[in-house]
Amino acid sequence: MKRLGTISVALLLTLSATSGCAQSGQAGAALEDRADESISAQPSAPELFVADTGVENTAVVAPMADWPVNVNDPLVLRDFSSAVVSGKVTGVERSWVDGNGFVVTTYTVQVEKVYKGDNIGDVISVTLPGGTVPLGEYISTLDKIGRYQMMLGAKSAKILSDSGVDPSLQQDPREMDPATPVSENSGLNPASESLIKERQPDSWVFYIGSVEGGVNYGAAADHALSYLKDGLVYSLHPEASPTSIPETELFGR
Amino acid sequence: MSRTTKTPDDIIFVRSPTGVKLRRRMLVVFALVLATLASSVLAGSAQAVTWNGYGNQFTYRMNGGNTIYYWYDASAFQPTYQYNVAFDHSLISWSTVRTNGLTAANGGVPCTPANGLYHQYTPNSIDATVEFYALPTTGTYYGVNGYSAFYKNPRPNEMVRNPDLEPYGWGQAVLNTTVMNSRSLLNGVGSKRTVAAHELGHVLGLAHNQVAGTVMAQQTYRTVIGPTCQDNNSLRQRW
Repeated sequence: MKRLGTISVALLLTLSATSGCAQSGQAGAALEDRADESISAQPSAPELFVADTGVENTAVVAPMADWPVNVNDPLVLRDFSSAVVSGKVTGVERSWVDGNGFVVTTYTVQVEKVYKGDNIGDVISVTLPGGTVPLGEYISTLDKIGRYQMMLGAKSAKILSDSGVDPSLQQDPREMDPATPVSENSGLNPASESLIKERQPDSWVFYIGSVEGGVNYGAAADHALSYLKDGLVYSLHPEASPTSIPETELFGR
Repeated sequence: MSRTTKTPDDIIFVRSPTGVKLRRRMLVVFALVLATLASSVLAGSAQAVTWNGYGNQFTYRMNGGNTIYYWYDASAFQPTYQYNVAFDHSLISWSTVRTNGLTAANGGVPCTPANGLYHQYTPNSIDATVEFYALPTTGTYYGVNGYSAFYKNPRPNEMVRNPDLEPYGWGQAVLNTTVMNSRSLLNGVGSKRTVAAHELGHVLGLAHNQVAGTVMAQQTYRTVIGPTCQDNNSLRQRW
């Protein structure tokens, strides 16, 4: 009995440690896996385009947002959006820094169905949060929009020490190699090989919100992408309901 | 500008059990319990922001003691819109949480026991653990009331991090002026002060929930204008 107990403890501790490694690995990945400085297209999966936007294997990190409506509900999100389409990504156009100081990526989408919206072309560009840009470009845009201090301002040695960070590691970004990649992973990369493998979607569903300067921005930030599988629509957002809705409901109530 | 601090009477001390000598069998049981708990926490941490119906908090909170050092960006001082006043309200409402999210003037009574949160103004962003902004928010965040972000690492890698996965050093609460300029300063569940309190709640380590009587519910579900005793109970698990 005593031996059984010891084995159980060992088993549980092993499971626990394994779980811990997985968590730590995910958290630390954001710092370690930013080697890709440019978007590199790869041979596509059987149906879906795959490209590395530099965020593959990085931790998913996104601001917490308070929306005026329940964007976790796919039908409310549909109403909140100016257009909703399904389709397949055929290319990654560019990653860049938007007016909020966030890194975003613009994808080329071959439209299959239009559930909401007028004058939607067969091929459109959709911009979603997340991607990788060189530090030099990041700084240049932050300067232009007046958010350098907000995004890259220095912090006192006390705050860094309290955070468990060696204050001497703090560097002036302006003195660093401008090619240093800056990545943000919002969990919405429709060209992600790992996401495609995990979810195995038939197609992607894009919720489009504002259209500014000819750019179609995804609606409600990290809610903007869902996927179709076997006639059902599934959300990717962790706060959204894990259940799906029939694709037909996207055409409206 | 608020410089509120609490009296020492409000400080809560939590003592850990000590001095208990365990026999070998008890050690095995203890190890079993610990291992089970560790597995649960680690397995559940990634899911901590999902709805649980009882309010929610991130796995971690901001590092540093129980006093937050807050700073206002120049954007908060717009005489017409008074975002600085909204931010003041949010700080006071979390520091001394009152029943039903009401102010003292409206009959709110301090929740008991109080939380251990204190706040102090700093004029320098370099020393701030909470930064407040009122900025136009566009693109993929078009239409949002506000948002909050979390930071830890030295520059330039002070990326927004996931509070479910690791502790953080400082945070930002941002109100979207494109949406919020037309909102009431003090009245309604979508008012400037209420959204400010919601975003500050995130920075303090609380996640969303769907409980109507909490300020951490998203606007769709929210029925209160400030943190309630239920919010306070969530906060007390971290502060």
